[in-house]
Amino acid sequence: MTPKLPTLEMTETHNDGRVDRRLRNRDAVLAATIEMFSEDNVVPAMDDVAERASVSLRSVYRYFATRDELIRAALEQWLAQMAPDLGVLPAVDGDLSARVEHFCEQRLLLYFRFAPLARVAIGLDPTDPIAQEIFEYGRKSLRQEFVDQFDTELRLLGQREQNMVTAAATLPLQFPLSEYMHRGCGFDATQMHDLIVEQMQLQLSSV
Amino acid sequence: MPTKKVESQTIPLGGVAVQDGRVARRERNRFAVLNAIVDLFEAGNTDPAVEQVSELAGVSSRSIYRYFHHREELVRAAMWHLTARLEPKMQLADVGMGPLDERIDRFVKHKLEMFSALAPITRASRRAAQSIDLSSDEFEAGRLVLRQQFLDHFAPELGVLTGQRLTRAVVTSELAFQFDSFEYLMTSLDGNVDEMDHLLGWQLRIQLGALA
Repeated sequence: MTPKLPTLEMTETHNDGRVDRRLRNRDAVLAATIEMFSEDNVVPAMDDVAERASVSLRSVYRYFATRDELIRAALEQWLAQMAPDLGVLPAVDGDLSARVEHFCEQRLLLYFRFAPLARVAIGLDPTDPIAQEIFEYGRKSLRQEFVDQFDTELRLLGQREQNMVTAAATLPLQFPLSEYMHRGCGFDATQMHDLIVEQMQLQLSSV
Repeated sequence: MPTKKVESQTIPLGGVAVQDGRVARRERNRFAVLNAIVDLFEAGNTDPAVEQVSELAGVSSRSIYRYFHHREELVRAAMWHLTARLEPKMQLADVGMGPLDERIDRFVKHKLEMFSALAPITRASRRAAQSIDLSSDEFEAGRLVLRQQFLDHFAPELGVLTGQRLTRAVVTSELAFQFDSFEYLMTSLDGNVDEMDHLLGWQLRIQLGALA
């Protein structure tokens, strides 16, 4: 009995060291992947990840059997890190043009902040839970914010028109459409801002 | 001498003709391979295995690798093939003809049909392109065709604009007619096609109306 106790303790301490290192290395791999994501490398090569994380390629594959698995784990971690910045923006007071201006400015900031993450997520299978979480959250919060912020204007419309105006006004702020303007048409932040503001005003006064 | 010249031209022609059989088979096989990939995309398979392509095309895996050196080349070629195959569906009848209201209605109807027909294949091919990190060049060709069509169809309204103003007007008007917009708006309208028709027509009217 007595000799068994120290052995057990020793084994545990020994294991702990390995487990610690394993976890540390796994974290390093995830951190390296996230770093590469933020440099717009949406499908980092496994050996590049290994090099940046200073672990062997074999270790990377021990922690993550496939690149897809690594990408998903890194994305999940990244999302968790950025989560505090998410959340429905509170409505502000002011006349219509001031509120439109404020709304578009805040939302455009979010686009630029989350675009690298969304670019990775868009490459996943659309039925992937993380991809769905990211885009569904984005869509719902945008819609909710819009409805809250422009309640005064929307209230005057029928249900059908409310729905249409909301869909059309929030369209340019949808990630793929912002991406289309920015990357597809080469618009910079100012040009995007002006266009989105003008569009929102047009939509809100068109019915 | 002139006779000899004619003859020397016939020889290489004959040579080409001999090769032509092989070239033609190669072209036929390549075509079958690309067609098979696009068919698989259409069936929702975004990541077809070489064996599946081989079986569907009736071309051995070995030949596939001979025609296309690596996967990226294959997917890239498939994207061009896809664009060519979809082009007839992109054609709009009577471009630029008739009063604005009529042109808007025709344009919206055409787009709705086009989107419904192309949604599965667009989704699948996009994902396939993403998985090998392609640039969007392959989609660019199709986009340019559609852009030109839009410009021609609404030339009376857009023709008065130049430079930045024209770019802006086109980008804003086209915004609702992007593939991603179609998906988003359809979801927002619970898949109601009549509502979608109404929304798109209304969008074009206010966009083009704002120009006047």
